[in-house]
Parts: sequence; C-alpha cells; structure tokens
Amino acid sequence: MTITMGVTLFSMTNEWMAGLYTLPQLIDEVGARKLGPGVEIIGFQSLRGFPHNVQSSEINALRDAIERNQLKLVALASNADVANHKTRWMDADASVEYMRPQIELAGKLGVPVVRIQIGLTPEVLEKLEPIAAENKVKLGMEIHAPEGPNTPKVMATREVYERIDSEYLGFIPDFSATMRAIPPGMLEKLRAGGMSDEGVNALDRAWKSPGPPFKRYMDFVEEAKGMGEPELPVSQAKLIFTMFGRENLEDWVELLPRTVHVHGKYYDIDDSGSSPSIDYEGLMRVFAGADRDLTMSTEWEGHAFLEIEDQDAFDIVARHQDMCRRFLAKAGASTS
Amino acid sequence: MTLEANVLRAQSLRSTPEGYEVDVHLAWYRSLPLSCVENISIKIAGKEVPSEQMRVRYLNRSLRLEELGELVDDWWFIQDPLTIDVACSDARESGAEVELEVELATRIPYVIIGPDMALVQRTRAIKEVTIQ
Repeated sequence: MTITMGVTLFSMTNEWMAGLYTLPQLIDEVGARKLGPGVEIIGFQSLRGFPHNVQSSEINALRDAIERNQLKLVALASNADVANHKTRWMDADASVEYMRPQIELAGKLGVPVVRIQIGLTPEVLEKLEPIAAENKVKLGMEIHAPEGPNTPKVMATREVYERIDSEYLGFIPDFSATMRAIPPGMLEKLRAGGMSDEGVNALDRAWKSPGPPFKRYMDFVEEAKGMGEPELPVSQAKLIFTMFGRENLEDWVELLPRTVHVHGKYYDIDDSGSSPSIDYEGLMRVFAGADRDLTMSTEWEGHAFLEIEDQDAFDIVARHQDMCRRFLAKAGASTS
Repeated sequence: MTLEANVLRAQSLRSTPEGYEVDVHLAWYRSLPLSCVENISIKIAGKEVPSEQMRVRYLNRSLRLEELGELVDDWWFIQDPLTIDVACSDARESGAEVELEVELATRIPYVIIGPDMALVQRTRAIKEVTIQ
C-alpha cells in the first residue's frame, strides 16, 4: 500500500496568525519546501468569509497556487460550532444546516475529505450522509485526544457507522490519542514558568495514572498546591490532559477499514530521528497494514507551546515526513 | 503561551482625537463569530477603561460589547485585528511609552466541556507599547 504524504496548514498556525503569508504565498512555501503533495486546509482558519462568503477570487487564487506547485487538496477541516450563540445552541437541524455549506464548498474545491469533529450526534451524521454523497466528499470524524479508537463516544459513532454503512462516513485517526510521553518542549516551558522538577514528576505521574483526564488534572492541582508550585504553570498544564492521550496505538487497527485520512500529529524529534512523545515506528507499522492507499497530513502542533522564534514550522514538518518515510519503508509500505 | 503572544503587537495602541484605538488579535487558532466574544477589558498605563467607553469597530459599525452576543454571522478573521475605540479625555500623546493590558474572553463554540457548557478561553496579554 502507499501513503500519500502532505501537510495541514494548521502546522503553520504561528506564521499564519502573525500575518506573514497570504494563502497562495503559504502554499507556494509548502511547494518550495517539498512538503506535499497533499495539502489540508482549515476552513475557519485558511479562508476569509468561510463558508458562505469566500470571494471567488480567493478560491481561484487557492486553486492556482495548488496547481502551480503540483500539489493536491486532500482534506478540509470543518467545525460544528454548536455553541456559537451563548444561550441558544444549535439543534440537530441547525447543525446540519451549519455543516452543509462547509461540505458544499469542499465539493466545489474538489476536496475528497472533510474533517468533522467528535460531538456530531448520530442524528446529525445520518442527515449529513446524503449531503456528503451528493457532493462526493467523505466525512472523516477526527479521533483526537482525550478520545481514542474505542472510548465510549467513539464506540457510539462506530455503531452508527456500522448501521448506515456508507463510504461517505469514516474516521481520521489523530495520533494525539495514542501518545507515549508528554512532549519535552511542553515540560521545558512549564519549568521556565517556574515549575520545579518535583512538580514536573508529579505531573508526569498524574498524566500516566488511570482515570478521566479532568480528574487526573485536578488530582495534580491538589498535589501541586501542597508542594507550593506556582499557579501559572499549574494552570497551563491543564492542556496536557486534553491534548495528549494515552490510548493504545494497536487499537487503530479496528478503525482502518473506515479510515479516510490520517492526521500525523507531531510535536518533536530527537537526534536519533524518533519522536520522544509519539511512537511513530509503531504507528507506521499499524497503518502500513491498511488494505488500501491512504493520505496523511503532517500536523505539527508544537505551536501550542513554542513561539514563532523557537521553531520554524516548515523545517520541523519536513523532518516529520522524513521520519515517516523511513518507518513506512521499514514496515514495507511505499510513500508518494 | 503562544496564543497570548498573538493578542498585542508593537503598534496596537494609537492616539485618536477622542482618545485611543486599540488593535486586538484573537487568542485562538481560527476565526470566530463576534457572538463568541464574551468580554474584552483594557487597561492603559494601569488604568482600567470602563466598558461604556469602549466601542468595537466592525464594517463601518460601532458596537457596544453587549451587542456582540447576537452577531453569529459576523466573523472576526484570524489574521485581522479587532479595533476598539476608547473614549478618553486625558489620553497620552503619541510617542509616549505605556503598558497596555488586554484581557480577552472568547467562547470556543465547538469545545463542549459539560452539559450546556462550552470552553471560555480567557487570555491576558500585557505589552509595553509606544502610542502611535
């Protein structure tokens, strides 16, 4: 089998937020650094006016940039935004109408996969399936920390998928769900913010202990308070429990038949060419076992704790792709 | 951390005939509708700006903070600043260096953390700036 490599522009969030690039310029840079051929865009990040009022000039400029760099749009990330009004949350029908133009725009752009998020109910998924089919767009539910391949919410979706059994409903495994360590860069930030080595050890223990993520965090907060740890890094540590999951990576096997795209979530790489926080050798072995070709976006999320001066996003994405190619070759899969 | 670093820039505070204008950037990785802005508070040179003296400038409109909650179809694009007009009779002149502090509370409409509860991201950014 072959995995087509690529990058989500989410990796360049720091550069994008700083306004260093327009969308065509960003795609030119992805092309120049050879980070494709796949490109994933984020509707509500990459496109002004998304989804109703994107200017046709902007759509044309995006298409031109993809074409001149010989790249391919492989996925578009959507959002459900059920709480866009503080008190009047969307019901199922409003959710469907909120998702519809996002799926239609993906269809118009010829993007084969729309990333959807956990939280869309079975009723909404059932109503979205014909819209997806009509637009020839596969909906991929991203399985992201703190959920995993067989946590209860995901199991409920798996049951719906089995019942509807449509090629337009699938999953996007995100490796944040199956991590082996807290990224060292995150811990360095907390240390720089005043957390002691003992505090970091307590945090690591809490992260590795069993139980619901929020409870594990609150246990750590209690312990840190007793140890006199400063408040700021303790509060910043909360995201460790939601962003970094500890599910078993072998469990992805169960989702392979309905996998429509992959998020190569990634934070770091060491001198030996491995990622300390995510077992890429193990992951690539699992995904090399798929019975058909897949696309994978490198999703570098170190910008959650690294500033733009700390890390060039393009460079670390390139290193991720080199690592994946090496481990995929070892597992007997080819890459393009 | 880095989302906080995005909120204020070197040229975020400008002098106007009525007082100041302040450019605020989002502390989230994607665009949000204005209805998700739960609060913005501003301190200039250590002095809190009362919310009735603040107006959000948006497409030729001048909005009070409490008007934002209904604007589900009006978008704050991730690369754009939101400009806040601050009425102030004793504003410092351009060229002066002051501490600018902005606290931004935005509801993240797809991060549901409990029954009827969405995540509210609260970010406080402080920067020494030169009034433009």
